[in-house]
Amino acid sequence: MQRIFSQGSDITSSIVSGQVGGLLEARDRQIPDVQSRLDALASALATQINKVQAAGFDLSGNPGTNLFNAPSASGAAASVAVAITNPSLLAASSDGTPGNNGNVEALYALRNQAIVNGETPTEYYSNLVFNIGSASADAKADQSASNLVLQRLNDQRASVSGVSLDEEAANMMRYQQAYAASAQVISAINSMMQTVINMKNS
Amino acid sequence: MRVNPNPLPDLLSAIAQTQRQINTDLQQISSAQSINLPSDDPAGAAVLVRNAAKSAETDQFLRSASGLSGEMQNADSVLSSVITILQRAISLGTEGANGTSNASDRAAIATEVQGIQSELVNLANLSYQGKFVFAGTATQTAPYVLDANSPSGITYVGNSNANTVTVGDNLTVKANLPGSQLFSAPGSDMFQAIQDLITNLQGGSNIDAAVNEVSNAYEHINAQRVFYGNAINQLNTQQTFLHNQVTQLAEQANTAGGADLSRVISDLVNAQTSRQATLEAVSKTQQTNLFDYIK
Repeated sequence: MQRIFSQGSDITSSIVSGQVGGLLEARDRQIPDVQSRLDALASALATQINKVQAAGFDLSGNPGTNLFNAPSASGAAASVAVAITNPSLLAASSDGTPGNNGNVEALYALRNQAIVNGETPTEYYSNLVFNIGSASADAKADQSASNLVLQRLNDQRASVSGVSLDEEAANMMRYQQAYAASAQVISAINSMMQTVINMKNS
Repeated sequence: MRVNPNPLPDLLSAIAQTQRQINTDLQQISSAQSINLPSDDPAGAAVLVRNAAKSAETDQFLRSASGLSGEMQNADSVLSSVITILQRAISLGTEGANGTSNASDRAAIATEVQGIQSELVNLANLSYQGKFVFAGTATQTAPYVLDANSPSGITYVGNSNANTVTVGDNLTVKANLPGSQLFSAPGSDMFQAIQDLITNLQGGSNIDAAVNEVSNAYEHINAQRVFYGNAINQLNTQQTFLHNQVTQLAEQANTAGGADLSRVISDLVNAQTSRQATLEAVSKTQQTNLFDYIK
């Protein structure tokens, strides 16, 4: 997994805000959390089914073998796989006779048993879906709220420091007029000076 | 108060917001679902997950119930044939017991009863979808085999177990009656009775007693047959219930996650109008400023 380094030291965990912070939060915390819960579900299902399977007998009357590969400690959801290819190896019978379905009923009963962290598989999964949905909805709501705040702040700043063409035009007119007025003053003085000079000459 | 002289970013963000609404509406219309991602409605999404699990379970109950019902109807019709044939055996026996029948009449009757005997073996070895229905849970081999060493001429090689099948949340039904309880129950063994009838017809004595044995077996099977009748009724009722449940679950799923099309379409039209209006307003208002009026 990619880490972020600054001048040789790992600063990945100290980036807690901004877009990068958000991406890191998703990558390092949220997604692994969901993955580990999926793993717990897959692992519990596989283990429990294998356990029931081992208590029964297949079509030939032999004790049941694993239906799923024994789940690994991590990554169970990604690696879980059916271990048998022959359907007659399903341990349907609870007493060894080929027509008995006692163990199928036991397998079936797993659906209502609290086998994953004290919840039934369906409950556990629906809670997981709820949590993912709620985390994502929260993030979206946070984002739109922050966006609104940002917009208002930008607005406020622009209302103080934004360039208004109308205002600049008015200012320009004002300066132009002042300039014209100053020019008039200078021109008046000039004309007075001319008069004074002419008085001396005459 | 001085206002923001450049509202364009705000307007752009408003347009983006409307565009997002338009996209959401289009997605809801095209999928006919109001929940396309868990984040659209987390609680609703969780309800949909549970609903889907329940629907799958109900479908499975329905498949189990209809399969079992088929098997039981088959078994029931076989029992009905067995009962008819036993009636025929009883009337044949009564005919043989009649004082007017002579030895050759009785021999002819005995031959006919032998025919009945092999018919009964055939019926009792009924197989449905590759398994023997009256063999208890030893369903892979025919339960009744001819056996010269057995007093009745026939041995039961099945077992006396029965399966139960789950066809509802708290409803399991017994799926079969083993032959040992039906045809070869101690005290009313059908094959023993028929064998006795044949022997006594051939020997010419105690025919009445053998006929009594056959009618005992007849009564017994008749009484046991009620099990299948009851179970079939129960399964039919349960199937009706499950069909209703499927409809209800579909309705619930629709309430929880179906798109309310009339509302979504009116939202969409609103959003489109609003977007169009914003765009036009932006293009009009930004054109003039004081500079245009100087000189």
